[in-house]
Amino acid sequence: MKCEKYLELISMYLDKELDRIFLDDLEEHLSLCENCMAFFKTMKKTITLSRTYYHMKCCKVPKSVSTHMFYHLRIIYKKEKI
Amino acid sequence: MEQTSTKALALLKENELIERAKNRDNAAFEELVRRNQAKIYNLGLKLLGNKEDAADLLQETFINAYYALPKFEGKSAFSTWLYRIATNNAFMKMRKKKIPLVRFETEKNDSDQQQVTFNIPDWSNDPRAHLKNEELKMLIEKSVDALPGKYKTIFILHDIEGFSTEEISRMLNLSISAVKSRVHRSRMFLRDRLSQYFHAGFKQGVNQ
Repeated sequence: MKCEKYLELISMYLDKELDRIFLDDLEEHLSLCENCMAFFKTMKKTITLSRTYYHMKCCKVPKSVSTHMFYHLRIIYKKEKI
Repeated sequence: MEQTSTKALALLKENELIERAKNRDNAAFEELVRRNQAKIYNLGLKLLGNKEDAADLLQETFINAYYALPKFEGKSAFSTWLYRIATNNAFMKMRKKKIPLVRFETEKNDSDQQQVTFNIPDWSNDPRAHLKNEELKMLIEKSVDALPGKYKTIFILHDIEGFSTEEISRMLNLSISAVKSRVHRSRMFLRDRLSQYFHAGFKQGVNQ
């Protein structure tokens, strides 16, 4: 199998969703192919960096936004009652 | 229906709150909103990129949820059901803003495949590959924002929020193979962007 064919398998491997029948083949290939190993490591790092970045960015809902939403919800409750 | 105090509601389990809210106990519904609003607001920030749209998305999602709640059957987790409503609302907003949903606009998507036949440097241990690096943080955000809307949504749901392929497939009415392929393509695109940064330095990576 050419290297290109392994790329999507690497993605599934990272998700632990790779079919058993491909697993041994991919692991053997990774142990022999520097390019695919570099692709695997950099793909993994891309995901980790992105995940950590967005988790760091998580914030509380600003009070004014939340108050505004509840205000509109209460208008809707009243409309439904009518 | 008799309304329960906010403090008492905070102690109730989600299932109990859902049952009460379905019967139009509005205080119970508001407790569900309080428990889930941060998730939806942060999803809005990630998908739409600004506070105003995230606030609109939050409000629209819970208004839609209020109307749709009597039909909620509990086949998925309540929060998954909310994400489904929120992502559909986000797609509508993206369409209005003419953000491409499925088409990669100017990217050469085969660049990774070409690289494989050459040399792929391993930058995973590069001293700049950490999140104290402000340039890298900016690049990650800019690159995720450059993904077409549906790819970005799937990437965020899968790799950031941690939903499974099956959950996303049900949430967005897509086949499992379509979800897997879009997760993969998004990762390829982002990895390629980060690789360019580590190969050629910040200017090239960010100014693209």
